[in-house]
Order: sequence, then C-alpha cells, then structure tokens
Amino acid sequence: MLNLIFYAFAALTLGGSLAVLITRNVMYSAFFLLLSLIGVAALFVLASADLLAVAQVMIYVGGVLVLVIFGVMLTHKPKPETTTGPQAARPNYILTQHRAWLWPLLVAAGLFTAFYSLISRIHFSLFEHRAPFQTSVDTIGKQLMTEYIIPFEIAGILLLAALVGATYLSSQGDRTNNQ
Amino acid sequence: MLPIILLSVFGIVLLFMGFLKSKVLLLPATLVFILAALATTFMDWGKTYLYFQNMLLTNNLAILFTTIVLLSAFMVVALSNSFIEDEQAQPAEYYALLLFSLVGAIMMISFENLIMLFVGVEILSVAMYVLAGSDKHSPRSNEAALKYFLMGAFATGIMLFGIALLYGATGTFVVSGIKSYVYTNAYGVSLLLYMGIILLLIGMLFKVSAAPFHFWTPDVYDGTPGLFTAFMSTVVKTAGFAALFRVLSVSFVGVYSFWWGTLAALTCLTLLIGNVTAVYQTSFKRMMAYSSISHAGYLLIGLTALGTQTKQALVFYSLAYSLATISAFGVLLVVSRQRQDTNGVNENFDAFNGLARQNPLLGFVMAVSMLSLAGIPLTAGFWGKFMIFTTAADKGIYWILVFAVLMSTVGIYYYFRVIIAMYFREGAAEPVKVAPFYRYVLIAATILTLVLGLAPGLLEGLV
Amino acid sequence: MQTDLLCSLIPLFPLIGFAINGLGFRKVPASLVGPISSAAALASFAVSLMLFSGFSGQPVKATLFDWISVGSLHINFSFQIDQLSLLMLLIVTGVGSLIHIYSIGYMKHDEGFGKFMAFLNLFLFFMLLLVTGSNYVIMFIGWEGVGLCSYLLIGFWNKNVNYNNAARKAFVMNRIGDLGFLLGIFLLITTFGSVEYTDIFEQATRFAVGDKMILAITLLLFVGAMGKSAQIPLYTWLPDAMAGPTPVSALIHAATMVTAGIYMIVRSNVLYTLSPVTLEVIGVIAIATAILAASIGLLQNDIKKVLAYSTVSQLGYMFLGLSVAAYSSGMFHVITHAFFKALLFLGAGSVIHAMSDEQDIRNMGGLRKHLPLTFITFLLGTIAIAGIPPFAGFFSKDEILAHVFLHNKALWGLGLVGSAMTSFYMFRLLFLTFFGEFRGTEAQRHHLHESPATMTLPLIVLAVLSVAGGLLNLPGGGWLSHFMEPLFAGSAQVSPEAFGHEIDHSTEYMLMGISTAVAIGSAIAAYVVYISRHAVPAPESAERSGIAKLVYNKYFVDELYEIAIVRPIRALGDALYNFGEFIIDGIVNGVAWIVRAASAQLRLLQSGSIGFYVFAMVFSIAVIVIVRFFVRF
Repeated sequence: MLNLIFYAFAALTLGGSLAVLITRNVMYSAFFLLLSLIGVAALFVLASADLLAVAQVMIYVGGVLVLVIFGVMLTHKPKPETTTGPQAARPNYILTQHRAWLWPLLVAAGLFTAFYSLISRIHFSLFEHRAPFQTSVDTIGKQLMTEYIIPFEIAGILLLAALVGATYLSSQGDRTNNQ
Repeated sequence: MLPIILLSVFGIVLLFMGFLKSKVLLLPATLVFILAALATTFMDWGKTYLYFQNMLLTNNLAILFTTIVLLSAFMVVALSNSFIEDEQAQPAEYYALLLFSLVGAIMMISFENLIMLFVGVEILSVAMYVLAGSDKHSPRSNEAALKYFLMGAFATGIMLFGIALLYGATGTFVVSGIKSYVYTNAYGVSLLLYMGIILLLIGMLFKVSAAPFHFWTPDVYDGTPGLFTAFMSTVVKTAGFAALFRVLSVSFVGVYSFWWGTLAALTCLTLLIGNVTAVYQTSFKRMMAYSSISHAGYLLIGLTALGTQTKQALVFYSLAYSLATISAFGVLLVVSRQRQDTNGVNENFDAFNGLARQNPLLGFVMAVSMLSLAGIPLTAGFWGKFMIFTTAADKGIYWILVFAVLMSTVGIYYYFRVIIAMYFREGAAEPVKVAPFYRYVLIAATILTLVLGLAPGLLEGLV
Repeated sequence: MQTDLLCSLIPLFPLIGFAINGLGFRKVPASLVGPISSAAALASFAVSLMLFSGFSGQPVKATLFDWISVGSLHINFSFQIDQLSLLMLLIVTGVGSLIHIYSIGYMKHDEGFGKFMAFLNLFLFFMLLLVTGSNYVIMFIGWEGVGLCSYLLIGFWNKNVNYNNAARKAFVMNRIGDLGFLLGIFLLITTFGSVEYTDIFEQATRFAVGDKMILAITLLLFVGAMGKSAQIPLYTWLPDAMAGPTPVSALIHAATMVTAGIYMIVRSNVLYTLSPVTLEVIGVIAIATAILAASIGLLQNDIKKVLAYSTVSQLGYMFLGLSVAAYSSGMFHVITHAFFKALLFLGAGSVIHAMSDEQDIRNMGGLRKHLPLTFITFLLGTIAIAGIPPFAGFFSKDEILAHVFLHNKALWGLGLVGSAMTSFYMFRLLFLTFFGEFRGTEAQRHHLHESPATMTLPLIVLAVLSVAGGLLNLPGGGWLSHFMEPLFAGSAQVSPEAFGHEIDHSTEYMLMGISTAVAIGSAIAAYVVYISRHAVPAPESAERSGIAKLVYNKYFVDELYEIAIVRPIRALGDALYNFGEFIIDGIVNGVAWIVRAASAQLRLLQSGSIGFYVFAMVFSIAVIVIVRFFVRF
C-alpha cells in the first residue's frame, strides 16, 4: 500500500517535471511545476518529514510559484504578429524561445547516471534503525530556539539585506521614471 | 564575536541615518563603524574561542582574515566619497548593505558549523547581487546583477546539496565533527562524504571565481560599478578562501589524497584561463576580472599544496592582492570618470595613456599596484607568490609550480600594458585631479604594498 | 664593527639618488641632476674602496634584519662581503661612476635627462643588491630589478616603435631565464632547506660528484644565466637592446648586468664543480655562442651592433672559462672586459655624439683627425679586446684559453678561431671608423667635434685601466687568483682533480705566442682589407658598382679575396644571423602568438549568454564527477 502511494507520487513528480520540459508554453510549464512540487511534498510526508512537506507547500507552491506566474505575466510583451494572428485568440499563449535540447539532454543524462550509480553504491546508516513515524515539528522547533538560535537570528540579517536591496532596486526606478 | 553583532546593529543604524536630511555624516559614520568592528575583532587575539554552541570559532587566523576583509572594506568605503556625490543615490542603503555583507564575510571566515557557512555565503551574496545592480541607469549594471544572481543562486544550490550530503555521511554539521568522522573511519569513508566534498568545493569555487565556474566573473565585474567591483574582488575572494581553507584544512585533511588531484587540475585550468584570456582584453576592468580569476588560481595552489605554511601564504597573498586591487580600482575610478567619451566612462587601457605625466602620483600608485599584482620583487605581491610557490615546492608538486611560474610570466605581459600606457604613451593633456582624502587612501595602500615588499617579516609570527 | 653600516650604505646611496631625481623629476634643476646621481655612485664607490682596504680575508656577513620566515625556511636581509662581492662591487660602482659622469655630457640635452639619471641610479641599486646579497633570494630580487631597469632604459627613447619592441624582446627573453632561476631557487630550498650561500655550500660539500639534484639545480640556474648573460639560445635580445642610449649599453649591456650570470655561477662554484655534466653543457653553449656571435660581428655595419655581438662573444669566453672550472679566470675576464668594453661603448658614444646620431660605420671614416682623444682611447680598447700583449684583454683571454687547452684541445682550437675573428672585426671597426676618408654628409663633417670633458675623462680613465688591467693577474699565479682562492675552497674539497692542473711554462709561453700571433695576424688582415684596399662594406641596397670602381685596379686579388674569404664569411655570418633572427626570435614570437591566439579563442567562450554559462557549469560538474568517481587512473 505504502509502496503504491510512493510510486504514484513519484510518477506525479516525474511526469510533472517532464511536462515542464516538454511544453513550450511558459504558463503550462509553471502549472506542471506546481504538480511536480506537490508530488515532492507528498514524498516528504512519506519520508516522515512532515514539517518539510508543509514548508514545501507553503513556500514553493504558495509563494514562489505564484511569483513565477506573476513574473511571467507581467514581463510578457506580446509580439505584434501574435496579437493579430489566429493564435491571439488563445489565452495565455506564451512560448519559450529556447529550443536547443541535445547537449543539455546528454549532460543531464550523464550527470543522472553518475549520481544514480553513486547513490546506489552508498550505504545509508539510517537504513538500519527504522524509526516509527513521529512528527518532526517539535524537534525542529526546539532545535531552532536552542542550538540553532544564531543561524535562525542571523537569517534575519539575510532577509533584511534582501529586503533593503529589493526596495532599493525598485524604489529609485520609479523616481527616475517620474522625472 | 562582537564584530558580527556590532556590524549588524550598525547596518540598521545606518538605515535610520538615511532618514536624516544631511547625508554628510554617512561616510564618516560608516568608516567609524568599520574601525570599531576592527578594534573589537582583536579582543579575542591569541585565544581560541567557540561561540554560540559551536557555531563560530575565532582564532588568530580568523582574526587576520577578518582584518584583511575589514581593511579592504574600509578602503573601499573611503574611496566611495566622490562616487556617492556623483550618483545622488541613497548612500545609506549602500553602506548598510556593505556592512551586512561584512557580517556574512566574517561568518564565512570564522564558521564552525556548515550552516553558518551557508548563511554567511548567502548574506554576502545577496548584498553583492544588489550592489552589482546599483547603477540602475546602466543596462550593463542591471545585466550584471541579474547574471550574478541567477548563477549565484545556482551555485548556492549545489553547495547546499553538498552540505546535505556531508550531513548524511557524517551526521553532523560541525567542522571538527566531520574531521573526527573522517579520522575514525579512515579506511571506510562513505561515498556520500566524497560527493559532499566535491559539491561543497564546487559551490565555494564558484564564489571565488575559479575555472570552470568563472563564467560570471568577467561580465559581472565589467557591469558592476567600479567601486563595488573592487569590493567584490577583494572581500568576497578573501572570505571565500578563508572558508575553503578552514573546511579543507580541518574537516577534509584526512582525505587529502581524494580531493587534491581534482583541485590541482582546476587550479591549472584557472591559471590558464585567467592569464591567457586577460592578454586579449582591451578593457582594463575586464582585464582585472581575468586577473582576479588568475589570482584565485595562485591562491588555490596554496590549498592544493595544503601544509603547515599554507595559512601564512594565504593570509599574505590575500592582503597583498587586496591592497593592489583596491588601489588599481581606485585609480581606475578617477581616471575613467575624468576621461569620459561618448559611451560614458572610459575603462579601456587607453584611458591611462600618459597618466604618469598628468598626475605622477596616480601613475605611481597604479604602477606599484600593477607590479605587485605581477609579482615583481620589492612589492608585497612578490612575497605572496614566493610563499605560495614555496608551499608547492615543499609538497613536491613541481609540475604545478612550473606551470604557475610560466603563467605568471604571461601575467606580466598584461600588467605591463598599463605601465607602458601610463609612462610611454602620449595622452590627453589636461591634468587628472584627485580629492585629498582619496589621495591619502591610495597613498596608504601603496605604502603598505611597498612596506610589505621590503619587510614581509612584519606579518610573520602573527599566524 | 662598522661593516654592517658600510654594507647598507652601498646600495643606499643610489637609492637616495633615485628618490631625489625620480620623485623630483622636472623639479630638480637640470644642472643638479647629474652631480646628484654621480655623487651617489661615487659615494658607493668610496664605501666599496673602504671595505676593500679594510678587508681581512675573512668573509663578513652583515645581517640587517630577519626578513621573512616561511615554515622552517628563514630568509635574512643580509649582505655578504667576501672576495667575490668586493670585486663585483668595485667594478659596478667604479665603472658605474664613470658612466654616470659620462652620461652628464651625453644625455644633458635630452628632455628626459632627470628620468634617465634616476633610472641609472635605480639600476645601480639593484645591481649592488644582486652582488652583495648573502642569499639567492636577494640575488633574485636584484636580478629581477636590473631586468626591469634594463627594460625601462632600452625603451627610454620610446617614441620609436622598434625601441619598444626591442625592450619587450629583452624582457621576454630575460623572463624565460628568470623562470629557470626561480625554479632553481625552489629546488635549492627543497634540497638544502636554506637559501643562504654559506649554508648551502657548506652542506653541498657533503654531496657526491654527479648528484642528480645538483645537476637539476645547476642546469636551472644556468638557464637563468643564459637569459641574463645572452647565451645561445637567449642571446638575440642583447643586440636589439642597443636601441637604448649608449651609456646604458655601456653600463648595463656590457660591463655589469650581463655579467650577472657569470657572477652567479662563480658564486655557486661548489654546486657547479659537483656537476661535471652541467659544466660540459656550459662549455658547448659557451664556445658556440663565442664563435657564432663573433662571426655575426664580422659583417655588422652598425657601430653599436658590432660591439653588442662582441659582448655576446666575450661573455661566451667567460662561460668557457667557467666550464673548465677556471672560475678565477672567468672573473678576471669579467673585470678586464668591463674596462675595455665600457671604454669601447663610451668611445662609440662619443663618435655617435660627434656624428649627430649616425651609427653606420659606412658613413664614417677618417675620424681620427677630428676626435683625437676618442681615437686614441678607442685604439687602446681595440688592442685590449683583440688580445694583443701587454694589454688587459690579452692576459685574461689567454688565461682562459690556457685552462681550456689543458682540458680539451678541440675547444681551445675553436676558441682560437673566435679570438681571430674578434681581432678582425674590432680592427675592421676601428679602421672603418677612424681611418681613410670621411664618407658622411657635409653637414656631419661640419658638425664634427671632440666631446666635452665629462665624456672624455671617463674614456681616459678606462683606457688606462684597459692598458694596465692585466697587472691584476699576471701569468703564473697573479694577485687576483690568490685573492680569490678562498672562494673555491669548497670546490677544491669536493673535486680536487678539477683544480690543481699546473700548466708548465714552456706550454704557457707557446700558447701565449700562438694567440698573440693569431690576434696580430687578424689585425693585419683587417689592415690589408680595409686600409690598403680601401674596402668599404656594400650599402644595404647593394650598389655594387661603386665598390667595383673602387677596387678596379686590383681586380684579381680582390676577386680571390672575395671568393676565398668574404663570401664564405658572409654566408656563414648571414646564416648564423638568420638563425638568431628568425629561428630563435621566431620561436619566441611564435609562443607569444600562440598565447594571443589562445586568448582570442578563450575569449569567445565568454558569450554573455547565461544559458550557456549555466550549461558550461553543469557540464563541468558532470565531467568532474565522472572523472573523479568513474575513471580509474
């Protein structure tokens, strides 16, 4: 049963990723990415990493992906010929231009075989003690507030720097536009 | 560990100071803040401390690297005077981001836990992404920021993957914990560890722009405003090498035979690409980008030939390189701004034509800095190279030594192009003016370079 | 003891001179520039003399401070005063001072006079560092420094592109040599754990003759010497370096810098004695260089080029002496050569000065009436270099040849051939320049004048030295060889059979007689060709008709002469010249071209497309992982 669920979600993840690569429409690939990410989240649950799964859904599905879709929609400028042609009638018709696939495919396949054969050779020490399912939220919460308090707080500096940078980069652009 | 806290707080203070009407105070305040951080750094001198539940470790080496980083930052900020006036920008944000990035750099230097390394790298990088794009009117600057961001994020991902694999292999993030794992399992180290090492190395090599992960460097250095290029090529590189040294010399020294071959090959590739490509450049800034790649190669020699002298060599080389680079960029900033042509600032070699005549001081500063980068005796750069080469000779890796010496000969060719342009070419007649404070900084850097070249023993015994 | 202070003063004076003239360029009045820099050189000379007179025979080491420690390796900033460094000090500061004084007259009207004198002082500083340092690192620093100054001074008249090219060629070839030197130093460090002369030589005496490590070290150091002292294949930069002002040619490219290679080998004589193979290599290269450069010199028409090839050839003789472990004879030739070659260059400078920058000897002639003082001193210099007794060059060259004779008769024969050529081209130069009819333009004839006193005074001093320099080391155990003997104690210890060959008197007189006869014979041959037959080398455009008219009356003899002597020599000279000009330069330029081409190709990788960059990164990662984990090697 567990295996069946695992394979189902694994198939979802893989199929989603493949579809992201195959489709030429950027909007479609964004939605296929959603499927793929949800599949990963489900796999996290199966690996008894429940907090991670929730975080995955919240951050990637809820935040990052929405951003991606917004980004695509906002930056897309329809070309004149597509706005008039028959395709203009189709909504969200945004195509990628990148068509080279042979070399990336070869490299990706090589890297995959390399990693796969390495990982299959590795002996994981965690295999030996099969822990019963338990939630990891408590442990992570305690750890974050005790042992890892400093990285946790310093991450605030990281976010602050990112925030300042983001406002800086966006703010002055408006000012120059107004001038 | 006061500097980290101080710099974080000072960064926030600077943001608030940005609300003040008068912006005159910002530059001196930033300088004072950096000096304060520098002073507190030395409170731990001579002792080894673990901070925050094994998160950070300070020792003399870390303090020296921190000093180099803060000194470089101090000089870059001091040189930012005219830059800020010109741009009519928001200097408070620049300075705050610089201070935050210093927090990241110090964490990279003194981490004991790989999580701290990761967070440090991220803080430094995020600040750099923004600063690379700080000249928003220039498409080149925007492009630089975007490229740096995309590729940097990619490299960070790889590094994180490496750290995760290391954790999987050893069950710990702590540097010395990994070391004891390596020693207790000397004959049966997990493959996971090896993969982790390779991926972590790749992530870090990207940050120090070693080949073949250097592709971002020329484009980003070229597009970034000169001042921040100086910051990038000194602070980021020094911190990156300090981090590499710590992780290699503590955690992975037990499996030296595994990684040194890979590192040696990449070292040679870096030296080759950096030096040979620099020959063809017409833009001084791009040449400096390739030169920074080649210097990463020299520093990597020290790591490849990891031994008792490596740390001394790395500290000396980083210091010599930072001083020379900052003064070179300092001169470039003045010259390029006063020699503007229709395409904006002129950052090509010909901008320096006849500089020695129009402003002998700037010519001299530039000449010393080029000689130091080329490794000519009686400058600090010579001793840096000498020490690095000695480590390789000590370890008996002669082929790398021969290759590096050959490549340094190529290096002399392009560094001397600047000197020839300054001293032997005729240029525009109008004199190049420099603000007094600016001049003091450049003079100080040049004097330090010469003093270290005459008396390199000054740093000895500190490490 | 005050030696420490005195030692540090020697290089300090020129450095101060450089600082004053360099920093105050255009601010120091032109009338003060010359005296300041000359005073700096003279002060160093005075201090060297004081050291020399107070020298007890025991080497003195003055450690100024502990310079740097890399691991277990300690490098001191210290000077070593012994017989060798004292001799080099006296040459460098003595000849250096004279050339400084000469430069005042020669360069006074040049726009960059102050800069020029500053560079000369800087050169002197580095040269003094080179010869007084007590370890190889200081020697290397001086070595690089003099190379830098040489580069700056060759390109001094930088308006001309050719001059810059010459400077660059000199720089590249020197760098190749420096590469060898530097690697040699690193090998020394790993072998002996020290760079200090005294430590290394003391340890070296425990090595066996023919040790592989010593062989590698000595060969690498010799590569350094090849570059600096212009031996095959790194010699072509020296003739090109004549693009620099004449005092530079005299000081750097004749008397001092180019002998640094010989100094280095004499300094490391223990190591070289330990490695007979290296000595053989040096011998072959030295004799080849001596003959090749001399034969090229036979046909050059530029007064300075002739002297330049002559310098290369004489340097070959010095190395030839070293190759048979006759270290003191090599040094002796360094000393006498410094005297007469500086004299010849300065004389040539005086001629060029008088001829309004004309350097082609085909346009000179008959100058002895107009420049009597220059003529007499130049004549003395020529006799000295040709090896006619009792002038300086005779004794030093003869001593080298005598040692070579004991070692290897074939080498000696070749050396004699070279010596014949030397005598011929020098007298050819003399006759074409100072005898016969004036062949220049009217304007030049009008302008002819003897040079000012600042220029003739050094000429006279050097002429006296060239005449009397042989007294330093008369045959049969002169003062110099006794003075230098302690330097070779280590060599004598490791390989007693390399020394101790006493040449018997009858052989010695016979050899002297032969070389004198050869030198005089060549001189007479030159006299016959260039005075009696009034032969003037054909101009570049080969207007043979002029010469044909000139030699019309003695057609048959000249035809014979042409076939038997001129053509073979011309062919040989041209062939060798082409060898240097095209093959060696071609290789150097080819390497430079390859670097540039590779650079152009590598640059294209930088396409600017992020997609490609990321792809390249992933590709590299894949390669690293696959090579690291899946390839066995």
